[in-house]
Amino acid sequence: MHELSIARAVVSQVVQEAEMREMNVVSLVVLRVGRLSGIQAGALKFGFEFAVMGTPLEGSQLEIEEVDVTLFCGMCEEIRPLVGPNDFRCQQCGTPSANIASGRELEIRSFVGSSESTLEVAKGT
Amino acid sequence: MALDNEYVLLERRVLSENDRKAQVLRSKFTDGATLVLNLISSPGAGKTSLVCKLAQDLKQEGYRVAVLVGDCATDNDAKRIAASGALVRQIITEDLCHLEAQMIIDHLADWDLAEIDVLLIENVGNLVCPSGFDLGENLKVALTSTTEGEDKPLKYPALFSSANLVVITKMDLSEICETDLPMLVSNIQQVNPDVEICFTSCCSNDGVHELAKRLMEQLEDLRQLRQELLLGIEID
Repeated sequence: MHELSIARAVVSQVVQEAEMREMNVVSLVVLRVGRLSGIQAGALKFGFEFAVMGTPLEGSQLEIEEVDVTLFCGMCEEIRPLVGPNDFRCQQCGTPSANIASGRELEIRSFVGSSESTLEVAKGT
Repeated sequence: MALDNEYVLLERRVLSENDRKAQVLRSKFTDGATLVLNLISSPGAGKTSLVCKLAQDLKQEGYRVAVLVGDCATDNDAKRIAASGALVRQIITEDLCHLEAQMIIDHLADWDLAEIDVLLIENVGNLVCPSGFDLGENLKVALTSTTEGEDKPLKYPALFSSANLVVITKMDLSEICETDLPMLVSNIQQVNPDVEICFTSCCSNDGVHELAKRLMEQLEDLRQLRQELLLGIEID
């Protein structure tokens, strides 16, 4: 359980990217989280609420796209879903495979931000 | 006045900074021809005992062993491991649930990797968090003990599916605990079909030398690969 530190890592990277684009408000962050990433979406959302405090992301919405586990089946030569959760065999032909094609993702897909004029921000502070 | 919202497509791994540092470590380990293991298990599965036994065995075979051991608190494990004669350093994470590449960089500090054949990194006892953090290792080793039941691999697939080697520890207790070993092996294979599985007991020493031998072979492969790379560079 280290979702808070993951949330902090997300916030610091988005802040950095937003600042480079001279944005000072971020309204939406979209993450892709694989079901094999060891990260639980609910706990991550909870951590995010704390991690955004006092940053341009404060009050932003966090959207999490969960990514299902798929594997590359050597027999079918295709990317296939699993037989069942934690059963790493091709759903089509049943061949076991350790070649995980998706499900380990933990990435910042995108964000939406905007910039207010510095004059406006100065007045606000 | 707020300007229009802008959509930014980033597609960047959250742990990209850790990945970058792990890559730095990996090339240092390659340069030093050091075989690096990242040992991960639940607390009490027997990481420290196995590290001690492996360190002793490898040392007897003439290999130079160093250990970095991670714990939330105390340097008890470092003291235990030091008795094996290995170079050892404790990483106290202050309650952080896993090791990160930066901690390895910090704690390697003045150690000369050219003088270390095998580096054993004992992660914080935890089956969830350490699995996402690359430490630049050659082998990610998942340990599970016979006393933990047969379904740990199914309950923690993130770790067991990404391990390069699985060690089943406390084999001497499997009878007393009525561990269903074929079931345990089958559960490991269900999440990681081709993974190599070793069986050890640190009480009877069964399987320890076999595992150490396996590491020596791996180290020799690594040295040969490095030699070929160096020759390749010279020819160029």
